[in-house]
Formats: sequence, C-alpha cells, structure tokens
Amino acid sequence: MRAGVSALLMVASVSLASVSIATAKDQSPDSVKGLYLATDFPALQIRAGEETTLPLTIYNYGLPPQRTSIAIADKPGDWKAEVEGSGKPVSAAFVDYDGRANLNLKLNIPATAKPGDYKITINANGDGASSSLPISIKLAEPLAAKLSATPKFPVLRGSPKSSFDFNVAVKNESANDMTVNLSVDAPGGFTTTFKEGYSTQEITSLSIKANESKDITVAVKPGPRAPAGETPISLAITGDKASVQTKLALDISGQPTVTVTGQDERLSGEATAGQERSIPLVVRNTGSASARGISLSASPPTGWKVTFDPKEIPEIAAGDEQKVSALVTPSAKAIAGDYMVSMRVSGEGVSESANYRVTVTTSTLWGVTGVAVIGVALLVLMGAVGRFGRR
Amino acid sequence: MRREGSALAGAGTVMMKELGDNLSSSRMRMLELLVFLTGAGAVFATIGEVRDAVGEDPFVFLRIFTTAKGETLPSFAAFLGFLIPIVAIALGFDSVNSEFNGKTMSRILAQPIYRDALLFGKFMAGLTTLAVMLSALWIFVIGLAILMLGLPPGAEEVMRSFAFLIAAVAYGGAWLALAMLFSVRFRSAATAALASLAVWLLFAFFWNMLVTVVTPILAPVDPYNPLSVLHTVEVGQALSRLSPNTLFAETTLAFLNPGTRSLGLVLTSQMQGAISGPLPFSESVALVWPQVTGLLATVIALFTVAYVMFQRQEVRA
Repeated sequence: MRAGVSALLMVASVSLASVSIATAKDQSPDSVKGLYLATDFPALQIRAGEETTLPLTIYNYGLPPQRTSIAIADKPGDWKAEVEGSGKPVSAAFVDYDGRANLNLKLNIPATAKPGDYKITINANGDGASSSLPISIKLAEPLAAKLSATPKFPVLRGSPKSSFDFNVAVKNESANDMTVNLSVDAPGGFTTTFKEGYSTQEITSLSIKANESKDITVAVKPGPRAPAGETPISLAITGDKASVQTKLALDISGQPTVTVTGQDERLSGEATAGQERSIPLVVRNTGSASARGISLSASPPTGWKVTFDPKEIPEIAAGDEQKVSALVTPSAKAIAGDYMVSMRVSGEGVSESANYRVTVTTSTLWGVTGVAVIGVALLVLMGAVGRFGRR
Repeated sequence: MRREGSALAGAGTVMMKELGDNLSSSRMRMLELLVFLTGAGAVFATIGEVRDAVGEDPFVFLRIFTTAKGETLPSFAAFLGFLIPIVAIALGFDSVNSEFNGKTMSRILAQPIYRDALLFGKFMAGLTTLAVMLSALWIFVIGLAILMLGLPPGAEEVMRSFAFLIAAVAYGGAWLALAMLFSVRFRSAATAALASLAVWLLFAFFWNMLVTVVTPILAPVDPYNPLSVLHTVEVGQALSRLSPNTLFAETTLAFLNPGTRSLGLVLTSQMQGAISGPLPFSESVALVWPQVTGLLATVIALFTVAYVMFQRQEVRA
C-alpha cells in the first residue's frame, strides 16, 4: 500500500518537474483525476530534539474546486505535529480545479524520544475524494552538543610587559544555540581579558548560534615578574552541554630590571668632609632575565669624588643581587648637613638611579683647636696664679 | 713672700658670702625683675605666632626663643643678648673697688684667706648668680611654653636650648670678667661702671659700623679680581667676631635654629646638591665650637688680666 502511494507521488513529482509552471494551476494529465496530498520526501531521517518542517502539497486534478480538511491521523503520542499554511495553523485548505495548496507540516520531536522507526499519517478529505499521506520517519540518535575552539596562533612571543592577544575561533557544532563562558587557567599574576572579535568591550561569556562560529580575542598580560620561557595556559570554553579546552602558550622573552639601593634599603649615610667613606650598596636584578654589562656612576655635587668598587658588574642573574661599595669623598669645603648624591646603575637596556642622602659631618680638628685655645688660656691663668700668688 | 698651698683655699667661703650678698641685694632684685618681665613679655608676644607653626616645624620649642614679633619686639634670644651684659656689668663693676672705698679690703684680707681666693670667690659668685638667674629664666620660659603650647619639648630641643643656656652664661661671664677688670683698675666705682658700659655700647651698637668702615681699608675690593670680594667679606667677618655680641648671636643662631648649616660665607658650589634640613645637634655644636671656645677663652683671658692686676695692687690698712 505504502509503495503504491509512493509510486503515485513519484509520478506526481515527475509531472511537477516536467510541467513546471509559475501559477498554482496544473494541467492535469487526462488519465489522472482526484485529490492528492503529497510531500517531497515522505521517508526521512531526523534527530530527536530537532524541529523539522516538511512541505505538504494538496493537488486537485480534474475535480471541482473544493474545501479540503486536513487532519493528522496518526502520530507518536508525545510528538508535536501541526499543519501550517502561510505560517498559521490550519485545519482545512481550499483547492481550486486543477490547482494545489501549499502547506507545511511542523514536527517537534522531544529529545527524549527513542531512536527507531516512526510513522505519521496525514489525511486530506475533500468532497467525495480523499487522500492519505503516510510519512515514515527514522529517528536517529540526538546529535551530541559540541564546541570547538581553534586558535589562529597558539603560541605568541613577547616581553613580560607586552599583551599577548590570541585570536580564537569558537564554533558551536551542536544543533542548538549555546551560551558559553570563557575562562583561562594562567599562572598567578597574569591578567586575562576576553573580547569579541575586534570590539573593545570586555566579555566573560557569549552566545553562539547552532553551527556558527565566533572569533574571540583572549588578551593575556603576564606580570613584570613573569619568568622567561614558554608558559602554557589553557583556555576553557564552557557551555551548558559541552565544553572545550584549548592550549595556548606565551613565549615570554626575559627582561632584566635592576634596582640600586643601600644596604637594608637604607638610602642615607654619613661622611666626613674631605674624607673617603665607603657606602655599601646593593644592585638587585628583579627582572626575569639576567642583566649584563652593568656599570655604576654617580652625579655628586661639585668637588665630590665618588667611585665604585667594583666599577662594573659583568652579569647579575635574574633574582640575584650584587654588593657594591660606593667610595664617597665629600668636598673638603662641603658644609655640614645633608647632600643628595644620585647613584645610577645602567646596563644593556636597563637603567635605574637612586638618590642617596649623605649627611656631611665636619672634621673635629677645629674642636680640638678650640679646646687647645681654652687650655692655653687656663695655663696662662695658672701661670699668673703661680707667678703672682701672694700671702 | 710666696704663697703656700692652694690658691683656691677660702675661695668657697668668699663665694658663698658674695653669692648671698648678690642674691639679696635690691640691685639684683631690680635687674631680675627687669629681665623676667622682658623675657616673659617677649615669650607672650611671640607664642601666638609659634602656636600657628606647631606641626610645621619639628623644633617648635626653639621658635619660642627665636621668633620676633614683627618689627617692634625683638625675640627672646635677642633680648637676652642685650640684657645679659647689663646684668653682668651690674654684678661686677664695683666688686673690688667698693671694698677699697669702704675700707673693708684690709679687713677681709686680714682673714685667713689668700688674696687669690678673694678674686676667685667674687668672680665665681658673680658667675653663679648669673647662672642661677638664667637657669630660672630658662625653666620659666620652657614651662610657659609647655603651658601655652600644650606639648612637651623633645629631647633635642631640650639639649639645644640647654646649650644655648650655657652659651648665655659664658657670654655673661665675659662681661662679668670685663666689669671686674675695670673694678680692679679704677678705684671709682662710677668710672668702672661707665668704662664697662662704654665697652658694651661699643660692641652692642657701634662695632658693626666700625667694621663696615674699617674693612674696606684693611682689605680693599679690587674690581678686577672677584676673589678679593671674598677676602674682604672674610676680613669683615673676622673683625666682627672680635665682638662677644657677634659670637653670642652666632651661637644662638646655630643652637636655636637647627637649619643653620654655616655661619660664614657659603659659595654656590658648596650648596650644589645640598638639601635643606636640620643639622644633628653634634654638628651644630661643631659648627659653633669656635665661637663657644672664643667666648670661654675671653672669659679666662679677661679674668687672668684682672687677677694679675689685682695681685700687683698694694693693699693698705
């Protein structure tokens, strides 16, 4: 029976194809007469959880124009099926003589439906003529929700201070729209921001339509103390049904950062005018690569002499420090009180200075002289007492 | 005939007797009243301005001593620089010659004390009187400041103001020694007083004028040699430092104004890279040490001259 109807429909569609006209009027072959309900593909395979629309056509060959009622005669219990005409649910269509009516069958299959073979029968009843259209549906396993993420360049190179912008194409390969959350698992001190495409707005999640792809930009900023070398990070894109992780890597080129400070972070000391004084300094490399070719210099006030021991440091490894003595000789004419001496370290690509406060003390030589003056005066007095002492 | 034993034997007795006389004499009472009133007046006048500066200056207490009230009222330290010589002269101008005039000298020397002891004792008594008076005034001012400012002085403020007190006593000692020298030299007390006051007037008012007149003569400025200007300034400074008033003023400045880094001429090259800030107390002492030792040496030298003069005088019954 089904095969017979299919054959009939095949004939109808062949005739449609061969006698294709823009109007809804069909020239009926003289041998064919009656009312036919037809669809293009009466046997099809769909997935559970999907919504499907099948085009239905009612043909009226050689019958007078008539009202044709349409009813879904048979369908699995929990499926939702509806006949629509011009976007509205309909239950009847008017078909002209040698004309046709176009309808749609909207099928909503619950995701819980089990795979297997199902059948839907639609009946069209006209004036003394009727047609029945059985549609056999093979229900396949529902499509697993799937996400994919494809970075354009998975490894980027830069300095610890630069921003690493990864372009990642995120595709929703499932049947439904999905809202995904974005997160990055990066070492501490790294800051991460997400942007969609080239927009400037920062995002934390985005929605992707079924089977669509969106470009996101993942900007990672390593801290200034980030170690040199390749740092892997992992980008996680999590939807409610699927998630994907992709590996990204930052190839951080190291950068030295030198600081100069006094011992125990003290930046003040004392020195006597005209006398050399050794001031301990510490040159520290707080960067992520070793600093090379470091030389020390100072800009002291005029008449001062400042030399360093050692004068140059060939290399300080990252995180290391080196003790240096600054030999400061204040000018012999320096007055007592505070002076500022600027100590500078400079190496390849790095330079840092610290202001050292030197409190100049004056020589105590004059103090001794003053005491000597008083001593002489007292000696004179004692001499006078001895010389002029009387009874 | 040579003396046997210490020159100071009996000096203590003389000193205590003289001290008693000094402290109970109406002359001293009048002077003390004068000094206290002017001191208190100066402090009262300036304390309002000092109170505004609380929190701006780490050495607020020292400002009590140095702040002048506008143009009209000098600072407390300036008052002291003016009044201490008067008190010292009042203490010393008739100490020896009044004994001669009262015919009491032979009676005193008839006692079992040396002549040395008499002068030593008188000088020590005068100096102690000065020290007692100035200490009392110092404590009075500090107490007044605590009362009116509502905060206690810091350790360094106490040290600095105490150093100022010592310098003030030394300054007074110099004038006391001068007055005693004149009282030994002149038999008339009035002459001694006038001579002392003349010297005081010279140093207090005319010395700076004299220096400005004399300096260009001693060290003329050569318009083609800029270094000669330096030389002239240095000569002028050396001349003005012959005056005990200048020495005392500079000592006051260094002790009571911790920001003072130099008392002489400072070249711009010396100031390059310098940061303004208070000097440590030890550095202030080092800065002003020549002035302090100068004052002390003046005291000893003047006393020595007075001593020699007194020892060579004839004392008749």
